[in-house]
Parts: sequence; structure tokens; C-alpha cells
Amino acid sequence: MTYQLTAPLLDACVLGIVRSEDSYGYTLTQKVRQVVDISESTLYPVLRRLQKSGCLRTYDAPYQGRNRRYYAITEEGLKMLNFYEGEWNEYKTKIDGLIRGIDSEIPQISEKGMT
Amino acid sequence: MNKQQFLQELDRRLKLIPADDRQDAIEYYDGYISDMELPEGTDVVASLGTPKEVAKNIIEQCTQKHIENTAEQKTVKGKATVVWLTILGVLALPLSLPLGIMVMAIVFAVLITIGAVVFALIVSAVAIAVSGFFSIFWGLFVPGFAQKFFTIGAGLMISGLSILLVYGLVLLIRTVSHNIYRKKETEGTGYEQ
Repeated sequence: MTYQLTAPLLDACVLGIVRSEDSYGYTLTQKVRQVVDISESTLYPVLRRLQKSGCLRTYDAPYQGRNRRYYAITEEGLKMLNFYEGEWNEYKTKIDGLIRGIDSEIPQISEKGMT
Repeated sequence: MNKQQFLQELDRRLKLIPADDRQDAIEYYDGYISDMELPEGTDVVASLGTPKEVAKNIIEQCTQKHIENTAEQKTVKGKATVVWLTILGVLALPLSLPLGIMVMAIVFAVLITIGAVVFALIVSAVAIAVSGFFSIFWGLFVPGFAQKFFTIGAGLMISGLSILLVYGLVLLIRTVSHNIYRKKETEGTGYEQ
């Protein structure tokens, strides 16, 4: 993996997965790991942070005689994900432009897009 | 390390973070390891990493969160926890930094001591020289022939002594400063002899 995944991008990936389907920690990690090289313990702090900031909520569902903790997206989380998607698309387009060498208009990369 | 040992070790390493964060983390990893569905007797560490690494991840997150919370609330308790976590962080730093500071302090102290001793010797030598020359002149005004001779003689002796002393001092300072200079030079070029 040549490119680093930054914290907001990781947040966006997690929120995106959870938007399509309520998930638990293990499957979330495996889904991200199919694309990005992260360790098994990378996502817990991310999930905890998103939960604390109200982007995710958790609920327990019984599975094989124990409780499995599922993560679901909240209204707040959807807003956040929308924002991240917009920023990401903008950033992606500009970077593509730079790589392809389109210099007719030099894009102004906003501070927010760079974080 | 089996699941139970892993969780115990993780719990032990999370002693210093708030109780609810700690419990949440333990529950998460309890479920996570179950979901990994490892065959009986498999080493959890091999697939999940050591409890130390996992704990480090969680503690970093907690520290950051606390700093953010403190910035918002400015509670004394929150501040105290951040200070506590920061102190622990500093203690956990590689030993090289504190050791480096210590070595520098010792070298500095030694240099100051040498400087002080040399300064004291110079002052003493000057005092002896001055008292010697002063005695010669003082001898001229002392009443009595024998006393005049004695005082002037003593003054001459002390003056002669002070010349030897100053000469010795110059040699001493030269040797010491030369040694320090050479020592610095060898340190700078990597201990070549």
C-alpha cells in the first residue's frame, strides 16, 4: 500500500460501511483490511471516538449464547459522512487533475480538504 | 496466550484510564476474540497483537480525548488526569532522554567546579603577591632596626613565593584547559586516540 490512510479518511470508511449495514467490530475490521493494511486493533479507538462524538450508536444482539455489540449510524453520523464524501470527492478530483497534468485551472485546495 | 490471559493482561494495562473506557474496551475485545473464532489453543497474540500494543492504542485515544474534553470544560479533575497520563508518558519514554540530561548536568557541574577552584587559586595567588609587596614597603616604616629587616625580609620571601606560585598556577591552568580542549576535540570526532 503506497498511500497512507489518514484518520478522517478512516472515519469516513467506517461510517460508510456502517451506513450500508449495522456491523460489529470484527467484520468491520475485516472489511477495511481487505482494502487497507491496518492492524486488528486499529479500529477500536476509531469506533470508540465516533461513538463518543455521537456519530455511531451501539446495541447488543444475542449471538451463540453471548451478546454481540453492533454499531449503527446516527443522524449525526450521516451528516458527518456526507461532509467527508463531499470533501473526499473534491480532493480526489483535484489530485487527479494534478496527476493528469491539467494546468488550465489550478485548483485551490482548501485547508479542510487536506486534513 | 489464550483469550482469558489476553483480556486479563489488557485489563491490567488499562488500570489508569477511566473505568467506563476500560470496561468498554474489555467488552469490545472479548467479543472481538470470540468473533475471530480461533481454534482451541491458538495464540491470541499472533492474530491480534500483544496486549501492550492494543493497550497503547486505547490509551493514546483516551489521552487525546481528555485533552479535548479539558479544553472544553477546564475541570480540575480532567486536568489532573491529563497531567497524570502525561507524567506516565514521560516515564515511559526511552531512558536516553533523562540519561542524556543527567550526563550533561554532571559534565556541566564538573566544569563549573574546575572553574571555581582555578578562580580561587588565582585570587589566593594575587592576595599573597599583594601582601608580599606591601610588606616590603611596610617594613620601611616599622619602628626599630631589627623589625625593619624582619618585615622587609618576610616581604621579599613572600614575593618570591608568590612568583613561584603564579608560575605554577599558569602551568596548572594551561594543563587543565589543554586537557578539556583535547577531550572536547576527541568527543567531537568520535573518540579517536
